[in-house]
Amino acid sequence: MKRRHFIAGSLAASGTVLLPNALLAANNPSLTATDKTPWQKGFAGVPEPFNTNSLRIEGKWPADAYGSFYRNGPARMERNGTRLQHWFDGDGMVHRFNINAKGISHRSQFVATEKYLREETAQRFLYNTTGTLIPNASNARNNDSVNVANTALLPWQDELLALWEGGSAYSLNPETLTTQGEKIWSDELAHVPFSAHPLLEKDGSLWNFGFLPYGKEARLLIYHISPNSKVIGFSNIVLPQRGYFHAFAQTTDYLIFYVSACIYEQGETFLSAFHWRPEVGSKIIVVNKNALDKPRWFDVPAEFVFHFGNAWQDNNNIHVVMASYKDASLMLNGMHKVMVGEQPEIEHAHITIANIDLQSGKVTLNESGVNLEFPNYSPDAAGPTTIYGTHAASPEHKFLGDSLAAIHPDKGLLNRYCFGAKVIAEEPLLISSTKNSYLIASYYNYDKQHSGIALFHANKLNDGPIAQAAMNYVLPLGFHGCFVPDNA
Amino acid sequence: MKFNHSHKTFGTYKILGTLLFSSFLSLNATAHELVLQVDQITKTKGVMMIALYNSADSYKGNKNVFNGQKVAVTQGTLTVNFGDVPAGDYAIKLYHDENENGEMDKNVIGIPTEGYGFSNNGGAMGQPSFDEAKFSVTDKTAISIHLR
Repeated sequence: MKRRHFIAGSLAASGTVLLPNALLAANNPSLTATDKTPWQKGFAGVPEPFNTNSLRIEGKWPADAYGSFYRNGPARMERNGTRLQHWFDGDGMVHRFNINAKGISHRSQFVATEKYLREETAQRFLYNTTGTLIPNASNARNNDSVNVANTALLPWQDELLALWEGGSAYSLNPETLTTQGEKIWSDELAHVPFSAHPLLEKDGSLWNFGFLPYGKEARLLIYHISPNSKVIGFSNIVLPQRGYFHAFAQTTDYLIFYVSACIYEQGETFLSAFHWRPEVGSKIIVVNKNALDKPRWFDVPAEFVFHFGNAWQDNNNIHVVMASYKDASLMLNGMHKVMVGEQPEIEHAHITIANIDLQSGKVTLNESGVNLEFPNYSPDAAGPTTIYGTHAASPEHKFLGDSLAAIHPDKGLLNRYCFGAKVIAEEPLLISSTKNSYLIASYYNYDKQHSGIALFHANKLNDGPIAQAAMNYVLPLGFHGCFVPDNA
Repeated sequence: MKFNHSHKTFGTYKILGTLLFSSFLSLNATAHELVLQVDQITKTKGVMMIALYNSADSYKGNKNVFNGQKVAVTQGTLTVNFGDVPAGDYAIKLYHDENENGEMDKNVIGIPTEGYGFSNNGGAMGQPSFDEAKFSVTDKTAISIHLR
């Protein structure tokens, strides 16, 4: 029964029938591409997919790190003279580096979203995007009309899901990267925001959320999906403020959200509607997995968080590793500047551990002093564990990191590897075999204008890559990926 | 959105009434052919539910449909001929009832999951007003709606 009625009933009061492009007023800004910075090619986008049979490998790639390394990111940045204005905007391109005894091949495909297909046919952008107003934009039917599926990837059963956060996941064939259509978990959840960082439960089920800052009340939707893709839990929570958030964390019993002080108000685009309001502070939301409709709020000072490390609980305390920014200028300002060839001056995210005392309601924040983004960690950790991520070692890196680093909440910075002052490092992923732990990451060398992928022993980053494969071309800089080992 | 088509007969009588009591005017001066084309249809199944309204009240309240049409969707574009309608202002709402359950399906947050459209193709902020959607029939008229 009852799930349908439960869902319908829980939303009856919301009255939210606002269509997604209600957020995007019609206007016609001047859209021009510029080339003022040496790393601009990383944000320029590409018109066609990549197809390379064999990359040149330096060093010996170990057999227990064979598999498929997938990456997702915005790649279609320009059509018919119109250039997108925010890094979040571009149509998603999914890359597959197939690594085996024969070598490494690289293939990619644009995610064939409804938006991408319609715009391919029209040979121009038709829809306003997250941060760009398109001249003579068409009206969107629903959230998926503007879905670019460009943010992250999740291996799910025999599918590869390309994730965005404002609409559905898209299902891809993991071998060919062919788009198989929107992933509709249930009729009621068709086209709803499904965020880019779902979390796997130990039983194989999946937690995720949808963030809806618009409408009469800002809302958090929580989804629990069984291993066979059935919706087994749902909650619809009114948020205390319309603060942006992008990901969440989990312990054995709790889901943890960080609702920032970057508040949705009004603006011409979805992103320009957000404003930094430090006076309202941020909120941490803790939701018991067995009582999804009973959130608890905790006031914390105004900061901004995209991504989390792991979280754990002991007695009545929850501990959450977060990559915290002092404000939201990266999203509100920096990601626009890089698209128009300007150098952003953005303070990096630093690892902070939030300790939440559920009994007293008190939250203490322990700042590590170590800058780190795109955190990755072993999903098996039940307590403090090593967090890997991108890191800025060179002071001139004001935006993205040039290094990979490992940090432990109790021990601080463990080790790091700097690719060079003129290299942008991308999200590292942990590969755990029975014997070894590796870290794999892509990078963009803007001195030599090429990209590559590199493999490290996870606990010996200082030693440098044990193997790497360089391309003779530049990959569009992306966001998140996943690694599927060959023996999986 | 659910259209009540029971007023089609009422609409027909209304046309007849207009004609009977306006006998001093020729037919051509008071009624003109209205043809609608619907394009950008992505799924060739189900039916297109089309409602023609001739007043702001009926349009806003989804009642007293002046002329309702239910057309099988077999290709990406369809054409509907409403025949001769009296000169005046009209507005059209339509939705693509893909699963033929008689209503426009919406998801859990109230956003349509089936295609829909309005005359003048407005409605970036939800349903456009009658004034935004209205068009005048003063001669033989052809309009198009892009399904979204």
